[in-house]
Amino acid sequence: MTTHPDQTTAHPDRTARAEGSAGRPRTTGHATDRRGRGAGAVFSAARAAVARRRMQTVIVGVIVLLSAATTVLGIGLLVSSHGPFDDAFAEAQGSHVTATVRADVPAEQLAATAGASGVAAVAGPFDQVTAAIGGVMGPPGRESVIVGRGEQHGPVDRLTLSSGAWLSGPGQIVLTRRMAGTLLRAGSEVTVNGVKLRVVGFAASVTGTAEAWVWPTQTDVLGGENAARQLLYRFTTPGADDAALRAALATATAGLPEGAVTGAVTYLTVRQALNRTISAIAPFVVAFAVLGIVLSVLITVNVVNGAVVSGFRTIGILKTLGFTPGQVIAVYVAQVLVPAVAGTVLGAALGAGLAVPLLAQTDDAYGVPGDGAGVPLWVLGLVLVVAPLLVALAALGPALRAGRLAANQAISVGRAPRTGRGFRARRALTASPLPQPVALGLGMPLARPSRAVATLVALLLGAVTLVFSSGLSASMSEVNTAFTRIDAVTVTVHMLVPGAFGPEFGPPGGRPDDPAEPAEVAAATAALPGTAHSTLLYEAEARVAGLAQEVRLNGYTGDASWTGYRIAAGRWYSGAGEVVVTSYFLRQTGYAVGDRLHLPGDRSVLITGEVINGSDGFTVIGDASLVDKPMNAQIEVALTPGTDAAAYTKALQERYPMESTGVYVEDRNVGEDGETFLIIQTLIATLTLLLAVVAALGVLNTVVLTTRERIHEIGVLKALGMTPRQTRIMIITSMVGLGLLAGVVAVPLGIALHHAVIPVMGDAASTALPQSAMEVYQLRELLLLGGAGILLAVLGALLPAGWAARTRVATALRAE
Amino acid sequence: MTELIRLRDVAKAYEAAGPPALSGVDLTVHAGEAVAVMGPSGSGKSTLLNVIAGLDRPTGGTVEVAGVRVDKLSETALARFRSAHVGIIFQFFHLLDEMTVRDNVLLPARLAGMRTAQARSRADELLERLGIAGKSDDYPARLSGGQRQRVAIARALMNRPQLLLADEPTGAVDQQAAAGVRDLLHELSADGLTLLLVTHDPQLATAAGRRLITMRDGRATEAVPA
Repeated sequence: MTTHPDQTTAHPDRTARAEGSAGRPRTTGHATDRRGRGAGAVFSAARAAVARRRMQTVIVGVIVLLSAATTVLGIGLLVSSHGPFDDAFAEAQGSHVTATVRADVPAEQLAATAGASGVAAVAGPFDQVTAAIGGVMGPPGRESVIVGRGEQHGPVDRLTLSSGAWLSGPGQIVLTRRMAGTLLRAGSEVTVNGVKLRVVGFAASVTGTAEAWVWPTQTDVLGGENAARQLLYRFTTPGADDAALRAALATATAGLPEGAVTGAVTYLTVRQALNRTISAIAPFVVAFAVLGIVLSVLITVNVVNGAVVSGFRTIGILKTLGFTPGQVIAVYVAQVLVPAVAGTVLGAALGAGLAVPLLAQTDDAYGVPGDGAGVPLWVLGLVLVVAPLLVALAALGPALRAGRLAANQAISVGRAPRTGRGFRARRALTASPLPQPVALGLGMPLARPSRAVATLVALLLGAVTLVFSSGLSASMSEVNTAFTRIDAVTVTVHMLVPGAFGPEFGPPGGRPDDPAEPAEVAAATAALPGTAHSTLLYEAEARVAGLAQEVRLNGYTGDASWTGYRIAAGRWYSGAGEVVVTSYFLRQTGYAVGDRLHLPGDRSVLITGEVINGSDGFTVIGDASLVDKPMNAQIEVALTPGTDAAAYTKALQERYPMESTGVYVEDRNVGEDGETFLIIQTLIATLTLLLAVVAALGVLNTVVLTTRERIHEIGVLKALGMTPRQTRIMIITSMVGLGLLAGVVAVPLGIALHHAVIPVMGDAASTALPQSAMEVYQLRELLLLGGAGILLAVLGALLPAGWAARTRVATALRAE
Repeated sequence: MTELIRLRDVAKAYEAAGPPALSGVDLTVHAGEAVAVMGPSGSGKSTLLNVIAGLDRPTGGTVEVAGVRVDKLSETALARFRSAHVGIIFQFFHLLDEMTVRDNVLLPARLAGMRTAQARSRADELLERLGIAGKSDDYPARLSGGQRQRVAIARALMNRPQLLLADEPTGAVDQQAAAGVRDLLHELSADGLTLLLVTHDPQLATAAGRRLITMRDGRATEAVPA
């Protein structure tokens, strides 16, 4: 494809046709008619410009499309990470703080807290018990929070009934659907503390205040050693964070006896737990969106600036024909608005489409009804309005410059030789020992410094994106390794604990004929060739007063310090009575290293350390004494160097066939990464690609503009003996210098962005992150990333360099 | 004498349906000859020069220059061919505004990869010979039309071409400068350089050209000297 001279400037005939019927001032007719005809002339001139500058039109359209898509995705995730929960919370008059208090505190004292300063409403006190519900899905003995509550609705925490009916008297129970599983129906029977109760309905609390509700007078259920009381508070000014809510609770309960409040859960904790994945994704998507928006504005300014500079003569002709400055401005703004609007519409649709699978997770979250609509409509509306507006504003600067030019000045500027910008530097380059095409290319940006700077910034942002995303991706791998401990534990052996699932329900696939004894399998595994370390782990669940969900207890029977847990704070446990907990546990519950955790059965353990773990459960890790009623058993295995994990797994599995023994041996190397990590890595790759394309398009635009402006010069050089290869080298080199500079500057900026975003993601996911997630940039990698700018520059310049190389000399020389 | 240019039945049409710019042109130029091509605007003079220089490709016939079928060469080979064998002078000089006079003259040598010292020596020699040595550090914008054309001639001669092509070399300069260009081309021709120039200027055609080709509607006719 060659550049024809007609493409570089407006065709006077076309301009005259556009103006002929409208632009020329008339002495007759109404002002409104003139305005109407003026608009027609502007439309015709803008349409001609769009058609004439097809490449620029496509570039503006594509960059706006990609930026709009990123922005919709970013804002959509940000808004939707809280939106559905907040709507449901407001609808249900959700509990700002759910407090658990000792059962022996008189009800009158508890009721009196409603009059405390800052309290807007209180529900309760409700009697509460933590007890096992017999007849529901799950291991026998798993305890649930059961609350005695007569009213479905009330001043706080209006429960949503999904099926069946609310309680009408004793002998009935309402369960959450999560607790009931799929087998129970209204009319089924369950038992609590030996009392038979009929299931009458299924309900949900937006903040998960209980897993089951019984009539308040059901004292045979609500009594016992685990009895407590529940108070649900709404505050007039709840505050923006967890600390403010806990302070408000402290104020409200100041009149209660010391130690009356045994636990409290805030709605912010619940919201964060529900939206953990989306919240973790949002920070980096927003970072990408901001980069995309800045890139779009920059490139639009460059496109319109280029159109004005190369169209000086056209502007002069338009003005001599009677176009007003306002009409000239309108022509230049309109020619970018057309592709901008088209790009925005398509981009918004693309962004909304990309957001759907991500937001589906929020909709499916426990207790929060979702509409499945994805990005809220107002976000789409906002982007549809703001994106073209931003492009129009970006175009306005250079368009005003066009509007201000006097007609004769514009024509003479368009014809005059270029002034002496960068001549000295270019001269020094051409006189240097560099090959002539390289020297000429390096000097080309100096002729248009402002364009060079805009291109440099576009390349810089593109390169920052590559540096940032490269680090982000590496960090996610590090975090995934820390979460899964795949570097330490290569093989796991899963086993059933005989009797753990009770008589009613068995594991999927039926029961094994001859279940293996975990200790025996552990001994056999330890003796197997290739085993470097192995340890048997028992798992159980327990309810802890004041915590919204059950605690997972992991008890190792041997040394487990090698199992790969990253210690974020404190130290590994050293024996019975000591535990380490996940950072998610600490951040969600308010516990800290050094605190004592009270477990059922009057047990108390000291929290000695915080470990990093990807689980969204409250996990507590200690020695075997931690678990008294195991549900599952597992052996974690580290292999000696050189051991084939697949062969090892196969050998062990053959020794303990799954069907007969219930033992399942897993080679963790072939396991899939977690869904969240897959989503994050895919998003990073997609967004990086989008922004890299935008940056490369920015370069493409610059090189197209420069090549068109200099096509005559290129023709002269070719006439003097410049080969097509030398022409390509010259054009590509013109961007390589900028790319190199951008790459060098982008490295520290990209690292800074990475270091700012990663901790925010960790906080959003309620987990500490391993230090290795921050230290992902190695010197060799940084040197390569420094070349990211060059890569983008070369990619963007390749196409127009090819055009320039193929342009016939005679055609180029005919160009004005 | 050796044939330097040999055109056989050369045709060139810019649009399939339009009139041809060149039609059935046969032309032979021997080494050392000076040929002037004249004719009205649109008669095909510049197209003829472009086809010989390899700046444009014919749509029919054969073009042989210095024993090479230029109509068959690739773009890369054409560029190398021009660099080695052909110097071109344009009506509007086509100097590069951001380069000094010396750098403009040095450009063909640098593109051809000539050694720097050798190239500088050759450029200085040409600038001296053409009377513009004092302007070697100036930019083209500061030169008169005649001076610019002298720079363009020096640049065309830089790589010691066998063939010098000139397209209206006096078309954009005043009478006094035109006379200087005429003398210069005459001198170069007298030194044995093969010259083919396209011009509207009868004085130039007479002074620099020993053969005269007339173009009309894309056809070339050799004028017999009176």
